[in-house]
Amino acid sequence: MANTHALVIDDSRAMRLILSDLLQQLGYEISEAGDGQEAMARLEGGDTLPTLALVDWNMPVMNGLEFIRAVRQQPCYNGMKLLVVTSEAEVSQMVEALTAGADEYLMKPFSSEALACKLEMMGLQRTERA
Amino acid sequence: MSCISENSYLTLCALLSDQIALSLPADKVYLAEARLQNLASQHTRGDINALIEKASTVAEDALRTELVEAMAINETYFFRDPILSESFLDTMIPTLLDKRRADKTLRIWSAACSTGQEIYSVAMLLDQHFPQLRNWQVTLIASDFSQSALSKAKQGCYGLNEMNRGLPARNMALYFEQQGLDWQIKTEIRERIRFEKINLIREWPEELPLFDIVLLRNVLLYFSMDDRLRVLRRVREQTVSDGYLLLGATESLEKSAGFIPAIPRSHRPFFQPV
Ligand SMILES: C[S@@+](CC[C@H](N)C(=O)[O-])C[C@H]1O[C@@H](n2cnc3c(N)ncnc32)[C@H](O)[C@@H]1O
Repeated sequence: MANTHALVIDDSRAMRLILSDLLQQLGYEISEAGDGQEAMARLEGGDTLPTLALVDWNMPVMNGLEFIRAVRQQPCYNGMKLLVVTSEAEVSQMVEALTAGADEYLMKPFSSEALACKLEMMGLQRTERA
Repeated sequence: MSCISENSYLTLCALLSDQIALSLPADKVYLAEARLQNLASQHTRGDINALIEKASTVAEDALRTELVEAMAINETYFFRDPILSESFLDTMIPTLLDKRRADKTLRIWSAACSTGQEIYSVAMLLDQHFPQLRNWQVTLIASDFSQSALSKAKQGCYGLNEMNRGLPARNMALYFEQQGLDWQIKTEIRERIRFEKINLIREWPEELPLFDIVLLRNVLLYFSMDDRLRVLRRVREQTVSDGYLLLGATESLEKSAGFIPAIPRSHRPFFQPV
């Protein structure tokens, strides 16, 4: 399937593994990056735009918010959805992320069901749920 | 872990069917064991068979209530199924805004509201998309038989798991306040809702108004066919003739229930009185 490529951006290798695993189960192809800058480099170097990027908030070099701002400044990346995945559960931060151009916000820790539910809300995952 | 004997299971099934019309399939013994373990340790030293027996004696009203509440399936989440938003935004509210413009009243009932996510989703939808309703008289009633579900609904306080399921981040930022690790829906939304204890298979309060919209979602699927029809007929009487009924995504309707699809030939769980 085309159109199911996710970029997982998190400085924790463990977290990247968990997310990649869950997304693979949902049928996504995965690429990974350890911070915002590495993620930008992947976008610039890649042939196709990922459908979705999962963005951690606190990361070295270029953090989640900076990444979101950088991505949303470039119209060629408009087709990519941005899901912030973070343990920062402050309303002010959520507002900051949304204002910067994030599409959704998922708080850690989360269940696989919650992730699938968010993707569905973002128009990405149509699961026929009971 | 104590196991439920065949006899006790039959007693339990009869009790649940009698109290809330829950028809428990024969293969759900493990579920009953898991759900009743706690109560049994509090009341009958962990013995579930003894618990069931005790709860079915006449004098044990309070225990029986606890047991029935423990067995009820409360699963729910914000903005459950796309049909909820779609039907409100595209059809029901636009139509009713027009039809009720003279008396400016709107009455909505979440008839098995569980812990409140459904009615709060509706309240948020109305607030966000229909500001003109602010000078209407909008009645939002949410009911359930379960006192424990209702208390939680009234509080409107949710943990991370519940907040992560179905609630758009925008709504979270707009309508919720952090309370330690939990999130509480803002008072101004909470105050718009009237919570009532109503068992669908018992008497309904006399002062219950006629409704423009009834949400009866993911509750009838646990009922026997007879109970289902009985409840639907009463819901029909409680719905104005140009009102609407929403069921759960996987639920369908018998014709004799008095409702037909609101969108002709569609298979959506969205109906209007015949
Ligand atoms: C699975 S939840 C559905 C909640 C919500 N309507 C939804 O669709 O997400 C079912 C709810 O129905 C309630 N319920 C079950 N039997 C009932 C009865 N006889 N009268 C009133 N409520 C009942 C349960 O307590 C539970 O909260």
